Amino acid sequence: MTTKYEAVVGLEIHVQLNAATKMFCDCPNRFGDEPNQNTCPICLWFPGASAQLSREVVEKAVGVAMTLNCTINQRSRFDQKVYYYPDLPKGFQLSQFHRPLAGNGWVEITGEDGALRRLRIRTLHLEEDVAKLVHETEGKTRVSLVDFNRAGCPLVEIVTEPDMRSPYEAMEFVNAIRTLVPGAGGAECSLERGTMRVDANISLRPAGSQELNVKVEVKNMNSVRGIGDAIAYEIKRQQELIQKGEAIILHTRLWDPKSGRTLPMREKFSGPCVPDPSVPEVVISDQWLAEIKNGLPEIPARKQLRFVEEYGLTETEAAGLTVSPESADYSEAVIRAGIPARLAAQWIAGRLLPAAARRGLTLAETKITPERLAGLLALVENGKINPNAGRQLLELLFEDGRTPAEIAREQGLDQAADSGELEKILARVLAENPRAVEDFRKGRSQSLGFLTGQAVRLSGGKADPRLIRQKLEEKLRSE
Amino acid sequence: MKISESENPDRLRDKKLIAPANFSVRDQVSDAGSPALEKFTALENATVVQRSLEAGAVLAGRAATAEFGFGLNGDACLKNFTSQAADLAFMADLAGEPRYAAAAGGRFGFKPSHGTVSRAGLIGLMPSLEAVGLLGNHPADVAAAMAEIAGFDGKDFSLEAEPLAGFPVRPPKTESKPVLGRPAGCEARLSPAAREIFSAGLKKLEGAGFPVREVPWPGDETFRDLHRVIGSVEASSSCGKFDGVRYGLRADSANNWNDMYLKTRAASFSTFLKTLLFQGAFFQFESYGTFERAARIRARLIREIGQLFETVDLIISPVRPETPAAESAREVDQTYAAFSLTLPANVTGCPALAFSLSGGREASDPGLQVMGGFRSDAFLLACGKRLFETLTGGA
Repeated sequence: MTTKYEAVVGLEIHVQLNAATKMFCDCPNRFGDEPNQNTCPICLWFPGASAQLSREVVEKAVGVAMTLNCTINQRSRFDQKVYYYPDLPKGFQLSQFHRPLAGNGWVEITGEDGALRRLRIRTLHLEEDVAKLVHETEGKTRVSLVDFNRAGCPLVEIVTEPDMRSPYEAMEFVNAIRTLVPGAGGAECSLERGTMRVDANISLRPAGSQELNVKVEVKNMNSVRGIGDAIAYEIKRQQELIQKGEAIILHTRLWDPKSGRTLPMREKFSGPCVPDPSVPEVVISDQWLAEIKNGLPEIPARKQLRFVEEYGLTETEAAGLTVSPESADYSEAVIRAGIPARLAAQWIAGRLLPAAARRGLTLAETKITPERLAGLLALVENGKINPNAGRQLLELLFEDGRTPAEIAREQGLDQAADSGELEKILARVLAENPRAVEDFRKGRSQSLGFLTGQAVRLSGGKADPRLIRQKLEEKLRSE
Repeated sequence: MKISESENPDRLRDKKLIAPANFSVRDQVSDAGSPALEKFTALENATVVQRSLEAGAVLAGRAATAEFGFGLNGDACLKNFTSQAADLAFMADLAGEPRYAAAAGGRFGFKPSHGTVSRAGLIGLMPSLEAVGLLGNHPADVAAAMAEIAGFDGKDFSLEAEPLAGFPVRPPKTESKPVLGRPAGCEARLSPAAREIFSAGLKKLEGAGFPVREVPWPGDETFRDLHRVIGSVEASSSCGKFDGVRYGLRADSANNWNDMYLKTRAASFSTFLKTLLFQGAFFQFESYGTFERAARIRARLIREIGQLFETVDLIISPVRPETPAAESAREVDQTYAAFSLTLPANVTGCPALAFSLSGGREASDPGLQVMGGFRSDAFLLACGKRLFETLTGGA
């Protein structure tokens, strides 16, 4: 009889906190600058320099931990995670191994069977980032350069219990983190930009067993889909090894998204973590904890509920607007500008966000401010342009910084809304379709739809069908 | 904030100060006595140097130091202190170096409580064991310097935020004498001549009315072993940063970066230090449980020594056991043997002072060490002055 195996998956997620400074010095916590610009004697670990822990970093990390339902440890400490590699020139990484900041948290996801699954978080701790290695060639000589801009940037590491049983559950967990943590205002959590990095530990065991077998760590997944694919590949690889009677060896593998395979990298790191005597103990008083809690932004679930109650949206509509703190704030700005909430929801969740995503932009990176979108939607709402024209106008707003009204006018998108032009179209439709007019008068209301369609066609698709139908009906009933 | 901020701002005016090479002095080579920091020029002053200069002290010179300040082999601080007719010198106290030098050279040495004086700018080796120590001619100079250099520093977050009480040090208002605890068997490591000098000193103190009581003591081996395990692990971590990439020595003719790291590290440290670093790496990678046990025993010892200070005010002992002098120790074992009597203050973080019983005139003089309770630095210095004057006539 063939043994049936189940996967046991745990995740180690590094999230870069969006604090203004690095963890132990005042250097900016910022990417994209010229190499080695954001450095000082502390993050370069010059002789005699000592770490100065940032209060903001601790507060951001505590906020993230609270959002993930963790218990905050009143006292936590830093350890020196000792390993030698050129991206860590001081020989150890400051991390919290023995006494982490928080733990015993959880996140709920909807399982593949539709039931709610609670996935546990073992620990959440602070950790400094390491430097970045850049490999180049000078002539025929290969050189390796070290950029210390990233050294000392603040991270939290979220270590889960091995609760996940499928690639789907791991992907859902990561999605939940990507929604919850930015919602707490602590981090961006972008796999694509590297502000979130996910490593998966995967092992197999006979279905129903409680044992934990030798695991394999997989790194280098830079999308949620990549995480799912890498785990699925690794499960299959391990199944095949077991079937062949081969042993699973503890090691680390790299996910190669091009080939869709994991490749062996090195033995899994298991160096010592020695308590650091120079970085003081982190002590979080009840009062400080309360202050951090009070300062936390509204969590996404609560915000979604408020959108339902305050703006009369459906849960689906509210969920569409609160996918990120940025989109929620954006939507509220559009609604405050006088746009009906439902119209705003349809356009933001249904059109604007997908259009921005297609361009690889966040809302803040587009030219479409809440005021400009509100301008567009006011044109639609007032019948100045029809929804089709609105969609065209939305695309133009990405490129053109003028007001929506100006662009609509120049592009002729609103010409059908001009009352004189529209009257001419309606008169022509009524004159050219006497049979349909007669049918309507005999009570066949569907002929109104036919006449409306004719008018929209004559307007070149620019006229608002609702307005045309309304005006046609008025004319037919009054004659 | 400095302790003396509201007091006389010129407390150290014109005091001649020696800062060894393991204390950062801006724009000066601060190589900590190691090839690993060859030609390394400090970007800013160590906090203690800066505070002393602001209080009117004058930097009279630098001094060579033992490699990263561990031990006295290669240390020229005492020599330069004498030749420059200095008033004060900073010396890193990893195992008792300034106390040993003071006892040998007829000076006054002091190690403050751990976490009371900023280590920012000290190129250290064993962060939880080391402190910025002081060498002076007289307890009053050391007390005055402590008032300037102790206190919270935003550059060293390992400092206690609470100000150190009792500074500036003033004479006690009462004539009552502190009770001195004398660890059982503490003179066993002395030569007969040294024991005679030490016993004479004790008799003099008792004659002057200082009550002396024998107190239980864990044994020098315990402190030595704890220091060695914890210190070597911390040293191994601390020295990891000296890779020749950003500063210091970099080995030539390497084939690739791994080769460069290996060659650089091989050339960066002496055999003496490498012995210690290998021991630390062994405890880190191969026997971490030993390190954990040492850390637990240390915590227990700190509690027990703290309880001892509920029965006595101070603990007195000799400084220099009968071993080859610390200055000539070329091996780690020899270094630990030389400092076996001063290590307890480093392991427990307590303050301790030391001075010569013969004014440096007797080669066999074991010196007197006085250890106080944690953060009782001001009390210890006040008492130390009285003991110093009683035993040396205030010389």
